[in-house]
Parts: sequence; structure tokens; C-alpha cells
Amino acid sequence: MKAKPVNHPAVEAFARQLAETTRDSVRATSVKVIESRKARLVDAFPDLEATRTQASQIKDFVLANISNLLSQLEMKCRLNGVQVHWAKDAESARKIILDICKEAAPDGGTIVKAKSMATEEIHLNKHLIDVGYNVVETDLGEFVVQIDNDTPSHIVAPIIHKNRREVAKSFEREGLGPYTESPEQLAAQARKHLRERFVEAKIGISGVNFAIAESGRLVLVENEGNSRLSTTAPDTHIAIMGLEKLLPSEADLPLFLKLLAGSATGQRMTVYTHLISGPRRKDEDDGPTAVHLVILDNGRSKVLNGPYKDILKCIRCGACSYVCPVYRQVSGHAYSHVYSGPLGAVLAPALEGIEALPELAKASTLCGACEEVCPVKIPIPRMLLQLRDEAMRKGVAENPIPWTLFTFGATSGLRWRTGLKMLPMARIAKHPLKDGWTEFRELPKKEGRDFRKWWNGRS
Amino acid sequence: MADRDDILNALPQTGKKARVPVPAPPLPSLTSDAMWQIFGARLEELGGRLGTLEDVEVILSRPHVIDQESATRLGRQPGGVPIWEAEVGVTTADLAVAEIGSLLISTGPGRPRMASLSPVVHVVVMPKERIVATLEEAFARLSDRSTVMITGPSRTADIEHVLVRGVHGPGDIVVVPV
Amino acid sequence: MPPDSNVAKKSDSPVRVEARHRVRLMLTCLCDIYFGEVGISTVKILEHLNCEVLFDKEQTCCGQPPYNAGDWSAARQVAGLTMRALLESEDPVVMPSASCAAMIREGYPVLYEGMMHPEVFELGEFLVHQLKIRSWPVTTANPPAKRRVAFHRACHGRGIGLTNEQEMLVGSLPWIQLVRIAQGEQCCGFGGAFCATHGAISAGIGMEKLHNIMKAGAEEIVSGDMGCLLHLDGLIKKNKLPLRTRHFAELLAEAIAP
Repeated sequence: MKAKPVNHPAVEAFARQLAETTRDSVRATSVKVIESRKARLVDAFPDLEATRTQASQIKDFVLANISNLLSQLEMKCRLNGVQVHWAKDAESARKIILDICKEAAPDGGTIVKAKSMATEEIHLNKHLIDVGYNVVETDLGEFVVQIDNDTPSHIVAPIIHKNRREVAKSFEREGLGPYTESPEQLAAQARKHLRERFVEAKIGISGVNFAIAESGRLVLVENEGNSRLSTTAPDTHIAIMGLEKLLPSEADLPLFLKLLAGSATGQRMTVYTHLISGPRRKDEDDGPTAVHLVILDNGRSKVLNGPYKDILKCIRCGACSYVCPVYRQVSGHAYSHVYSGPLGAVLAPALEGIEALPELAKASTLCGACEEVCPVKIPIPRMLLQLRDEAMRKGVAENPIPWTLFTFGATSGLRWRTGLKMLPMARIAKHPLKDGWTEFRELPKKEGRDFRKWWNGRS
Repeated sequence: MADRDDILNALPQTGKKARVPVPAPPLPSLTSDAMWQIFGARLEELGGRLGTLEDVEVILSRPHVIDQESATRLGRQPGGVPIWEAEVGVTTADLAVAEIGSLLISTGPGRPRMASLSPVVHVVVMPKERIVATLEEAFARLSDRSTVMITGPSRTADIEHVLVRGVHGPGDIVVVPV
Repeated sequence: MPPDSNVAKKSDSPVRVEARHRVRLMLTCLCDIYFGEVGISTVKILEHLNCEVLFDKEQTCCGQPPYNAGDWSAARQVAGLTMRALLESEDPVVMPSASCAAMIREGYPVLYEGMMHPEVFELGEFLVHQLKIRSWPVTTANPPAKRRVAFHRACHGRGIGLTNEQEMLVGSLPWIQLVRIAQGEQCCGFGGAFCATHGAISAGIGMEKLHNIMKAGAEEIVSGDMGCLLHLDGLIKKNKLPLRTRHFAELLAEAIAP
């Protein structure tokens, strides 16, 4: 007899075909990062709990005053000589950026890119490549992703799903140098290849980690130096930021910089913290002559008016993914969105609408590890539950269990007790979750004494 | 500009929440020597080191660029080879931050950004008194020009979380307080 | 010593509870259906500490299964019965499950805006914080043989601020040696309906936990939530692993003279 095909939710279906080596890569790095970050944060913040509360409250303030802070940022940026653009959606953002590129480099040419989730979100590279620009990702991990025609599987560690042998093969295929499995030599090959791109590029594109409303300063953090090169060597720098990436003042930076570095990679501080005050001034020797800031909405204003607004407090440290037991089993690709892991399971449906991703919030055990590590205390499990409720109310998600029978039994003591007596005779074989359970586990059996019988017997 | 007004109008207009002041951490009272000692330890953890003027003379046998302030301090000509050919960049720094082993370097006349970035070795020659204990103190004195804070040599851990130094920026940093 | 005892410190002498407490037992649906012994152990433990235990026969379930699955209207109906049956008196309600306690303390305020039930306790939490027990008062004359035990902290304890309460009590039994397991803080992979809808992921997480426990040389897994143990026990039996599961209430009850 032919078995009925089972429709697994997307994340589960992805996990079932995932190579064991990929799972191992993701798990090994995740565990390493979580252990080093814990030690670093405890060392850096004597009262970590109070620090997280403080950071969380500053982000609450930002979200509550976002309209005023953005206006302030715009004004200060203009005074600094930064050209400010507003993009309500991905298409608008791509058009703005393309127009800037056409003016800065009308004949095409190389565009160097620093790692930016916002550019991933609007699928910028494809768009610029289609019109003839040579767009080059310069972060080592993102470079590997690009030459492999892959996508990042972690917001901080884009190639967490690959091992060194896979990277080595890609570099050999691209003719970057002789085959080597040494991470050091692979990095050297990338440096040599990308150095030429930095020299020839007329445009550099980056994200923004923090934009300071008070001063209009754009803050970018990184470890390799590619982001600094991308925003220093070319004549034109285009920075794109999700509109929530604000901090009120520069006095807030020390706290957030330490918290981000510690949370993301277990460092005391990222190697380069780039505080950009505008384009090259007349008396300065180098740096871009034009700096553009693109402020991206793309669904964020809608999220800010709804029940998932707290997810926009996120500072993109990626700790929630590293610590998540589900992420560790499936990698970021399982979430089928640029934002993956627990952050993505909330942010992706919040941005795209529950109808687009109705099942994603169910790919979680609700263990709460994400909220526990979150540097700005985002209540991710609560929002996952709200998303499940919203999907059910709107009738867009499959209900794995018809709760009517359970509810009928559990809303009356008498029916419940009757049900308990009938349970051994019930056709448990028909339970809708049975196959999902027994594929991996034995069915539970009643063991030892029955509580109610015992209780009744003693009084 | 239609997008601008659409976005600003779509955002929640609450704006009532009180600003939480960030309490300043207590300032440790440390001597400059004590701070340099902490700074040196942090820098070493990161893979950089403190050096002497004699070290600088040896390093400068390689193709280099020197910013104006350091050139004056070292009695040399500012500038040097074309930037992409320089293996060594010598710069000054506005401030060293002891607690995290960081250097704040602002741009300005005679202070090219690339000197601390494109070479493989970065040498910092700076007056001894330009050090503070904490990041908070350092950021209270930020220059209004574009500034970079450098914390150790360039690095990556993208491949199997193995630490590699000197990816795009300098893999070696030598700091010389004078 | 428990692997991590920085929160509640164990003292050397057993503490006697002088005042008589009246508590209401919430049996929980899993103990009602499958694990009566855990409920019996819970009553024995509380009575051993001089508590008067009441059991309301009308109780059913806290409503967490439909709540977690997203069916909040079903959850509200079930929660309504629990509130009527258990939460209207002023007596503290005690249950051998952090998960159900978290549902009432954290979930009910979501289902019914702001509704708080502070007098609801997980068993270990009640023993340590309300009755001030730091070390289990052993009275049995026939202590069992020494054995190596891995303690699994159920994740829903996070929601109600539990730390090492249960481990501390189990670790105070002279015949129990708690072993440290790799990634001990990680979830077991159960997750309610998740364990069946996302079976491969759930089983993957669970097997990782079981392998870490075997590597540590333990023969028994002890936890405070029957959801975790139900799932782990199913995996153990399917894969014929040399492990068994116990609820910590059963271990404490073992130490009471009959």
C-alpha cells in the first residue's frame, strides 16, 4: 500500500534534506560563539541584566519618538553634507540607488559593497548587475556567498553553513589561487583579489549599524576593514539603513557598541568602528566626495503600528540564532527569508504579512533562549505566539490538531474524568499528530498508579 | 520626496516616552602609566603590541606613508609612496582607550584616512598623555570630523570560526607612546 | 553539588517547616493521563513538609497545548475552567510542572489582558522559595544505591524565573551524583505540537541532548516537566538507549520513609 505523502512545514522539510556536514558546521560555530560571548559579556558588564534593561529602554524611546528622531537625523545629515533620501519600499530604494550610481559612474564599472542586510532585503545586487555594474561583495563571508551564487545563512556569519573545504573548492574554481584549506591563505587570496576591486571602484555601498539623531553621524562596525575601504576609497559612498537603526545621542554609543560586539562575536569591541561625519571636507586628504544616506521603510512603519513593533529594537547581533536549538538544526536557509533564526521568524512575517509566511512562527520550541540572550530584551517567544494566534484567527495556517474535541473534554470536570476512563479504549491511532510522533519515538504508556484512584482510595 | 512625507506620516506619532538617561560609569582614577599598562595588555590580547621609536626606524625601511603629525614628531618628511603601494602606514591618534585597547583617529588636514587602513602594518606614534580609561570618556571628547576607532588588527572568523588576522586592513599594529 | 548553585545556596541541615500551609494541587493533564506517580509523589512531598494538600476533582488542563498551537479561543475556554476550579481561593496552587505554572503566570495575562495569578507555583519553586527548603530532609531507612543523574532544566522555568531550585534539592540527596552535561542549558526539543509537526528537528535536538547525557556517563535523566520527559522517553525507547527518565518529585519522594 502506498503511504499518503506527508506535507511537512517548510522549515521541517528543509531540515529533512539538509546535509549532515552543513548541520555540523552550523552547530559547531553556534556553540563556540555562544560560549565565548557569555564569558565576554559577564566580564564586560558587572550587571548585565541592568545593562540589557537600559539598552532596551533606549530602544523603546527610539521607537516611541521615531518620527521626530528621523527628522532630526535628516537635518543633521544635511548640515554635515550628507544627501538624504527616503525610500518607502524596495523598488523605490533600488531606483534611488540606481540614479545615484548612474550619476557617479555613468559608464558602469565596479561597485564595492560592505555587508548589509538592508541591501539583501531589497535584492540590490541583482538589480545593479542587471544594468551592467560589476557589484562585488567584499566581506570575506559575503564574497564566498556571492561567488557561490548562495545566500547568507546567518546575519553575522554568512557562511556558517560552509566548511573550509567547500570554500577552498570555490576559490580554486574562481581562479583565486592554488587550492588551499588554510583559512589564513584563503583570506590572503581574497584580500589580493578584492584589493584590485577597491582600487578601481568609483562607488561603495554599505549598511549602517547606528545613525545618531543628535549629530547625524553614521556608525558602521566591522572586523575586516572591507567596510572602511568600501566607504573610504571610492568617490561616492551610498549608505542604506532601515529606519529603526537610530540612537538618540552619541552618549548612547559606548553602551551599544560594547553590547553589540559582545553579543555578536564575544569581542570587547569590533576592530573598526567607523563614525562618518559626512563627505571629505576641503582640507582633508581622502575619503568620498559624496555621501548618500537612503532611509528605508519597506514595511517598517506598518510593523511599528502593530503588535510586533518590539522586533524593530533589534541591533542585528545574531545571538538569538546562535543559541536557538532549531536554528542549530536547520541553518538560516530554512527560514526562506533574508532574516533568519528567531529574529527572522518574527521579523519576516511582520514585514511581509502573516499570509505570506503563515507557518514560520511554528518552527520554534518556544524555549525562550532567544529572549534570554537578546541584548535589548526583545520578547521573541511572546511574539511567536501572537503570530500563531494571528495566523489561526485569519485562517491562513493549518491547525495541526482539531482542538474541538480536546476543548470539549477539558472544559468540564465530568467530561474530562469520563474521557480519562475511555482513553485506553480510544482510537489513539487516529490522532492527527501520531505519525509525527511515532516516526521518531515510541508512544507513551500509562505507568504506575493512577492519581485519581489513589486519591479517592486514601480519603 | 513623496516617500519622505508618506513615511513620516505612517510612523506612530506617540513621542511621549521619557528619555532614560545613561548613567555615567564611575571614573577610575588611574595614572597615565597604569592606563598604558592596561592598554598594552589589551592590545596584546588582540594581536597588536606596544613598541619603541627604534622599532619604528626598522619598520620604516619598508615602503610607507606618514601623516603630518607623526612626520614632525619623527623628524621625517610627511607623505611617502602612493597609498596602495605602502606596506606601512604611520599615523598619530587622538586618544587611546585603556579598557578596550582602542585608538581613536580622526581625519583632518595632513591626516589621510587610508594611512591606517590599506597598509599591512599600522604604526601609531602618539603623545603619552592622550589616553583615557574608558570608552565613555573617549566618546565625550569625539572630534566632529569623521573618525575611526581601531581595536586591534584587522581580522575575520568567517571560515569555520577560525581567527585570521590582516584580511583587508593591517594585520600588525604597533603603538608607540612618546 | 549541583552543577550551578549560585542562586539558592544549599545549607547543611535540613530545614523543618513549622507553619502549616494549605495548598491546592494542580495535577496537570499529563500526570492525570499518564504519570499518576508524579502526582502521588508531589502530595507525599508536600505532606512530608507539613502541608495540607487539597485536590479539586473538577480540574483538567491549564490550556497551554492549544495556546502554544495558536488556537487562543480554545485556550481561553480551557483556561476559564482552570480559573474556576483552582484559582478562585486564596490558597497557593502548586504543580509539578514549570510549563503549566508559566502558562498561568505568563500566558493568562496575554489571553486576559493583565490578569495576574501570583499564588501559582511550580513545585521546586514552592519548596525553595516559599517553604525555604534548601536540602531535602531524608527520612528513609533504606537509601537506594548511588547513581549518576543528569538534570535537565525545563525551558519554561525561564519564563517564571526558575534557576537551580530543583537541581539543588535533587543534588542534596546523598545517593545522587549530578553530572555536568555539554550544552546543558539547551532545550530538549519537545515544544508541544512542534514535536510532531517538526518531528525531524525535534528529534534532532532531543537526540543531541541524549548523546550529551550519555557522554557524561549518566544513566538517568531527571527533570521537572513531564512534557520534556515524555518526548525524551519516547526517543530513548525507540532508539533503545541505556537511559531512563524520572521526575524530580519521584526522587524526593523516594527519600521519605513509608
